[in-house]
Amino acid sequence: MVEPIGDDETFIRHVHPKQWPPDQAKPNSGAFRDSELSVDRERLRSVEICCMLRPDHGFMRFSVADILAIGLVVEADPLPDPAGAQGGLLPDILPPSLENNPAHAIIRGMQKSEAKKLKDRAEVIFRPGECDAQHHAAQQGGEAEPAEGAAGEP
Amino acid sequence: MGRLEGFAKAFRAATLKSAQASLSIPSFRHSLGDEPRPDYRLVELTDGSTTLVLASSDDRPVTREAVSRHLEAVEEYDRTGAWPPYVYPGELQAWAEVYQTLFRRSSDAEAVVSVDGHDRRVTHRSVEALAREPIRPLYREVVLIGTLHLIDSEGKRRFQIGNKDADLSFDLGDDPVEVIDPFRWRRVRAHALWEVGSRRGILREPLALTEEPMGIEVLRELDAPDWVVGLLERTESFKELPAGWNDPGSVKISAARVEAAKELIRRLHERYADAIPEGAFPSFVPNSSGGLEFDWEVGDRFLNVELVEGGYDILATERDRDLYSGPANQREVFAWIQWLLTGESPPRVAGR
Repeated sequence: MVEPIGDDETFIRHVHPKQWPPDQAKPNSGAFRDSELSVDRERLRSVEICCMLRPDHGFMRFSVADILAIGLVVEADPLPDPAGAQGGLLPDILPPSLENNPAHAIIRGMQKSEAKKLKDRAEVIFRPGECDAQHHAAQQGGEAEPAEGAAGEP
Repeated sequence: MGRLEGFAKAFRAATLKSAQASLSIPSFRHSLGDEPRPDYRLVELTDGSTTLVLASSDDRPVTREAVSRHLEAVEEYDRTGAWPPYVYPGELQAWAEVYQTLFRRSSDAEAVVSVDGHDRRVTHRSVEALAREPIRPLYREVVLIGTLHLIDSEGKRRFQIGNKDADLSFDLGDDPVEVIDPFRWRRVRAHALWEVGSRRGILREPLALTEEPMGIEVLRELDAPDWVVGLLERTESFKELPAGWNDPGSVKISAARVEAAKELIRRLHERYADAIPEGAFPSFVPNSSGGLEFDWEVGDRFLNVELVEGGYDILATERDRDLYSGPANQREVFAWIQWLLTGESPPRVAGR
């Protein structure tokens, strides 16, 4: 059963480090442009899990309201497909991975203009490399807060 | 009388046949890839030979583009007193050479150049301005490992070193041939400056025999500050991304596209170095479709430029209002950049 997306949900976009110029506050809008843009539903997959899976990436957050405001639609798209051959393997108890991702969702119809608007609305959680540092700090008992209002691809 | 007419006819045919001109612009030629150079030839002589008509030998887009670029450059120069930023090194001078061949020393001579039904009168004064503009060469510092396969000690006094990727020509200067001769047909290491877009090289160190694999390694781009070099190096690194670098469907970035992006960075720096503060220069990033693109924001104005197959795809917005989204050629890209930096009225784009 695919859990419907609630109006108050937020999403995380993984951003490849090459798509984030080192001296810029946000990634290039191209990081938000894909005919089917993959995102993670934050309610089902935390940024810490995203960090663990892609420690070198940057991570951006935006909301359902942001997506609706620019005239796009987001659809839940859990991986693997619950209706497919692998769908009955209880993804909740399998270790999280890019392939086993019940939080996966897609945004369709993203063109240059929409990608630019989504980039403007999105907030930075981690810039590339920052969550790796946070992960190490957590392992050493320290604490590193995600960037405030700061630093996507599942 | 019949023989005289026959001679005139033969003379006319021979003149038409022999009068051909290829547009030789080093950097332009470099960017043509495997395409032949634009070629133009004499097709008509009027009575009294006061008018010559030249026409392109084919109707390829590049042939028309070469002329329309040139006409727009002349127009802009006449209007503003400055040449537009998109001209290639050597482009102005190549056109000057074409006109000087036709005009000779006649200061009254003029040419009427037409493309797509648009006529432009090019005067002797315009030609002088074309010829006066110095070529500003760009250099790369390279190490070329290749075979020294040619020594010309009589004509231009030069030698050539080549491999399958590059074939550079070096001036022999005042050196006696004996200095170079021991390297003939041998594999050599040449540490050199390569003039971008041409085959000219300048040795930085004496030649040395080597067993290193054939190839050419670019050590650095010259004539640019460190931060531009950094941008060029970052862009160069996109060549190493494998297929699937971002997601299973993401496309490998082609070497040709990386070179095109680097060329655009160099041109932007050349043209706008004084207008753009350090750190505000746009930075190319790869996208999953195999394109390279940058976002550039100045005040309320935003420009996304993407290098795609056959040209550019851009988005221009102001205060979140889309002004243009779609394909563009290089002239239009520079016009949009001018708009971005100055806030002047947005350019008109064909088909808009």
